Amino acid sequence: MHSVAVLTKELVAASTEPMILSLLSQGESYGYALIQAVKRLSGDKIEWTDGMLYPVLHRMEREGWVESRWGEAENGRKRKYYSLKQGGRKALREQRAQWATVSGVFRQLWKEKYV
Amino acid sequence: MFDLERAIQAWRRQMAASGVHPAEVLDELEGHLRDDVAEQVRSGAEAGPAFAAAVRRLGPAWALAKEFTKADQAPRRRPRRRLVQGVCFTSAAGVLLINTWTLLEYDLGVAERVAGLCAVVLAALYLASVPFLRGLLSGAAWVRFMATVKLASLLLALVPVWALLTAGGIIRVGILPSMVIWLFYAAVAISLFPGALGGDPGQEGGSGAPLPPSNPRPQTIPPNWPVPPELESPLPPSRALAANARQSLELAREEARRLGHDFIGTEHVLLGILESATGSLAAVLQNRGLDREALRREIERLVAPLPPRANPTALPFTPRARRAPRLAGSEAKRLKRPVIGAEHLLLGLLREGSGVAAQALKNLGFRLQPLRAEISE
Repeated sequence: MHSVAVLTKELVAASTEPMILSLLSQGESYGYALIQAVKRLSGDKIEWTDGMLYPVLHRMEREGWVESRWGEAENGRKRKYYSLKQGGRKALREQRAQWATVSGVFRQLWKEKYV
Repeated sequence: MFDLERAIQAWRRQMAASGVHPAEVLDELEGHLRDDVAEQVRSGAEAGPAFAAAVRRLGPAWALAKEFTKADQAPRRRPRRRLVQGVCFTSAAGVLLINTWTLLEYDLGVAERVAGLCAVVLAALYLASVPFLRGLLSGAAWVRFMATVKLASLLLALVPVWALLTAGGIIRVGILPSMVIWLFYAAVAISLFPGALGGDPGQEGGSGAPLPPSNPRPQTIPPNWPVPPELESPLPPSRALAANARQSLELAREEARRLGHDFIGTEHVLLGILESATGSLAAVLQNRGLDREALRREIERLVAPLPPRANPTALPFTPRARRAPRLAGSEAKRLKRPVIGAEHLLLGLLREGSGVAAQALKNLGFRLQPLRAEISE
């Protein structure tokens, strides 16, 4: 296994939105859970500055991609939940196509490594 | 013993003072902190270090404030852009229809009609393209273009004169020249329109996801949670305090106790001043519609009250609250007053400009500079 490399900030910045959109496409969620999911899925290689997720969520809400509601958490405290809207699904489709192109190129370029 | 409630409350103050102020945003971030701390405690960590780690992971307050400001500003461009497009397209259509009708209605030769039609179509095309000019022109070309438009707009002042002269029958121009003048008028006015709105119609709102790295940058705001012990010193009265100023500070202490806070912050001093305000200061505050109860509610939204402590110890002033009397001293000097009064304390708080007091006032829609000017009189 190669040494664990933490993602560069440029890549983090570029991939945050599609990741949030993809996670929310699986159902309603909230900030802390989104961060934990990304940490888990990336094997701790993606480290967001936790607080920075929230401005992104707020901008996506104003953009009309997601909507939010205050609900109650298991511990009885109030918590802000986000879910995907139609505009968000469209944005996700577009971003997904772009990432698929990028990853397709790499797959072909690096094929021999894995064969 | 680490007290999570107090730590969170001090953290909220710090965030509010750094510019992350809507209470709803603070609630959301607080929920995040609590989730993070709870998770760490479940896996065996102590609450104190867990809280510190959670706050660190959340990122520096200044960076959050910046990102939230950006997030709030970004989408405003979209409706504006649509507005600019709407206005430009409508006027293009209007110009096209009205002038074509004019050309057909008036008795004109074929050559005149064709020339007029060309001018009209050109003008309409130009109007319709205004929303996209910013994107089409390079930076320098755009600056030159706007300079030309501004220069041309000086000529607009002549249009009413010309309209008066024609209405009075003093000068007579044919239908074609007057049409050209109106077209020019419309073109210049519409060109100014996007600029006047302050929008940047040619530029897309930033769509990248800025997640700045958490590396430290020179911090302009001194971290003040928990309240450092060196602050347990009394106020430095650089000048004699007037009776009402002393009363304000006493009341500030009372406010802090009542809210269960173990420090005296700018918000408590502000409440103390309002409580003790009499005479002309009270009149000014009333004039400006500064309602003490509304302010108290806003402050309690920003920094949640806690159950009062059983053993009230000497409460330290926060760095910002300590600066206010010092600034008050220089305010008194500026206004050539021998003693520091409550009004100077208030001026000091407003000049300080970034504490919870200033933030609460801003949230209630007060602008600090005009308020300062009025109190200074």
